[in-house]
This record gives sequence, structure tokens and C-alpha cells, in this order.
Amino acid sequence: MSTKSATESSPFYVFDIYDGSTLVGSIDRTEIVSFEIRRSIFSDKPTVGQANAGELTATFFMPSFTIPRMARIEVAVIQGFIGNMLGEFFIDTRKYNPVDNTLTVHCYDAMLKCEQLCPANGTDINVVNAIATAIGVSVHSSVTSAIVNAYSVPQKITKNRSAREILKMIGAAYGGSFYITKGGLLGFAGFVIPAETFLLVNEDGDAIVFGSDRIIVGGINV
Amino acid sequence: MSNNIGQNCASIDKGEPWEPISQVIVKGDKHTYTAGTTTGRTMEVDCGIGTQDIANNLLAALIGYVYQPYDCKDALIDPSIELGQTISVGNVYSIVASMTIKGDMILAADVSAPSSGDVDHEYPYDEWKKTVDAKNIRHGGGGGTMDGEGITDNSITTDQTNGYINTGLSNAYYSADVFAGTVTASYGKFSYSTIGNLSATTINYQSHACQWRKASDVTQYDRYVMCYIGS
Repeated sequence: MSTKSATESSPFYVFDIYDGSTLVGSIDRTEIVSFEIRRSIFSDKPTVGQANAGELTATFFMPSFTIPRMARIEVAVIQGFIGNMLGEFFIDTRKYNPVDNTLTVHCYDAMLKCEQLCPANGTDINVVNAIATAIGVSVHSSVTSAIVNAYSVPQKITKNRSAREILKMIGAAYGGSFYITKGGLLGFAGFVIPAETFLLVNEDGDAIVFGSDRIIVGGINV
Repeated sequence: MSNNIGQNCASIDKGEPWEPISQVIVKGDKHTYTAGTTTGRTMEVDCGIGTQDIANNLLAALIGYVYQPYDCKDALIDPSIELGQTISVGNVYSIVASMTIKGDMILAADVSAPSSGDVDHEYPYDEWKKTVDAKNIRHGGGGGTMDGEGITDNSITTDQTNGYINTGLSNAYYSADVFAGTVTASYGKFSYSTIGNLSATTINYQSHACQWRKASDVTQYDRYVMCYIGS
């Protein structure tokens, strides 16, 4: 396997730290020691009906500003002139290391907030919307396009169950799982993916493009 | 959205693809619903709101799908790639089910559609095997209360293929309690059967207090029934 040179476009990572919606400070690549983001719709046994929280573990030099409790961290990467969100997380635990003046934080995304009693019952999409509101996120278009059958989620099911448990049930009914997108929205990922599209590629396997169009082979759209 | 990263990764392990999915088992709050046949892969789903409709719709969505496990290290991905999207890497085309991004001098990620821990039981060990285990066969009679499986409203459901179910008649011998519901039983994965309506007007006595019965032989006089399906 080949690996592209890092010098092509070295990424520039940024942590923007918020107290609610107020930006309290930023930490950039020069202050970040290491970080790792783990996200999955299933991590071991392939299945449906999951609602896993994404995790961020990051170590950085202690900033000059105070990081508030339960702060929100937006992780972004800038390559060239293009910026991309890598996730939105909430600090759960933190550990200061006085030897090298670093702080290690362990964070989860908004799915963590689903560990509360389910706020509604009724049709599935209404319940999903109510849960999204309760955890302070918006619903991604993948949810509204997938959750369409109006299955009933009665009160006897939602009673004494967490929002996450109910999301898992609804996800299972539609053959997929809920997750929090990199942009911080409640998303839905189906287990089944569309059939493979065969693109014309070069010897490295990269798609050959004309302008911005890829070429599909197989007599479909050459 | 498909993400074609060509050969741009440190390594890739391609797992054995699943057999096409041919059956769905939806484990609901109290009932289990089955759709499809056992000719291929079976997908078991825990779904508290499960119904037969959901099982049928789920099968329609999943049937024939071939899951492709893989494990790709240090893939140079598009940073905007999301879970559930497709990825083409090397000769693998599959789903992004798990993703780990490490902040490094290059933006690379370990992406995978894992399969470890998954075992395809062609003869699954499930409820019917558990219930024939002696420790799960309970004995009783007289006026004691037995554990019914999912006694709800006016019906009785059991996921046990062999075992007692309580018809809910509190004192059939002395009173005119009537069970006027439907008894259903399921074999978990193997079959699903409705035993029949036990409508009755009056019960004056109790017969067959404790007896192995065919599902079709269950009567309104049965206080406790050791039930099985089939001939």
C-alpha cells in the first residue's frame, strides 16, 4: 500500500472550547499533544439498533484560560484552505498532569445525554424529534428520510426507559443505528449500503475525473 | 455517499463476507416475530416495539444483503466521511461502521466493518434449547402461582416451547373464572404458532392441572399447561 506524503497538506487541528454557546478559547496544533476520536455504529458484532456515543480523548498543554465544567469541544481540522469538523464533544472527565503541565480530557458526544428518561411517546419520528430536542441537537436529514413508517412507540414501552434505549428500538425497527454526526446532529445509518458503483480508476485505485465528474464503467454511464 | 480512497492506507484485512441475509428475528417486548427462511444468514434484532409488520419490513430491507467485514489501518480518508457511508479501499467495498481518527502529521483513520465476536449459528442455541433444560421445567399444581410468560390482558404468550404457562385462572376449580383469550406460543427462531381461542362461558372444574399438552389440545379447562408446538 502506498501512503501519501504528509507534506501534501499537513492538517492543522483546532479545539474550540465553549461554555454553552459562548466560545471561551481555542487550542491549536501547537498546544495539542495527542488526541483520538472513536466513533462507531457497531464496534464488535455487526448488528442494528445501536446508539453509540462517540468519544474523544485528548491531551494538550494547560491553556491560559479556564475550561468550564461540562464544556463543549468542537474539533476541527484545516487542510489547505478547507476546514472540516471532526466532531462535537462534551467533557466528562479531566486529569491534570503537573509534571508536564498537560491536561487530559475524556469526552463523549451528545449521545451521552440520551441517558435520561425518554421524554415522549407516540409515533416513532415524533419520539425521535423529542429526544433530539431533549439532548439539544437537531435531526440530520438521514433520520427524516429513514424513519417514515410511523411505528407506534407506546407509553408502556417508553415508561422507565432511557431515551437511548428507545432510540435503539426505533433504529432496530428500521434496520440501522443512530449516531451523532461530526457536525453534532442526530443521524441515522442503515446497515444495508447501496450496491457498488464501479468507477474508472488509475493504477493507484483513485477515481479518474473529468472536471468534477467520475466515470462509471459497466455500460451505465461511460 | 461513496468514498473511494484507492490504495491509500497502511494495511487492509478483508474478512469473509456473510451469506446473504434470508431471515429476520425481531425480539419484541414480550413476543418474538420471525420473517423469512433459514436458507441464509439470520439477523436477530432486539426491538421492544417489534411487531410482525416490523419484522416483515425489516426483512424486505435486509434480504439478500451480503455484509463485508474489513479492517483498514491508517486510511487517508476525506475528513467529512460519516458513519454508515460506503468506502472503497483496495478491493473492498463496504460500510464505514467504526472509525478511529488520531491527530497526527497526516489525517488518517482506522476504519472498519468489524466481525469479531460474531458467530453464525446455523443451528442457533436459543430459547427452545434453554427451556428443555431440566432446570427450566417447573413443576407445580394445586393453588400455587406459576410464572406465565407475558400474561397480558386477555391473552397469554410464551416464548417457551416446553414449559408451563399460566392460563391466569386464579381458582378454576372453585369459581367460574373464564379465560377467553388467545394462547400463542413461539419457537423463537423455528416457528410461530397460534394455538387458538379458548373462549368459554363457564368453567366448573379443573382438569389436566399439570400435563404435557399439544398446543392444539389446550383447552379452557387447563389451569397450567406444559405446552409444546407441533405433532
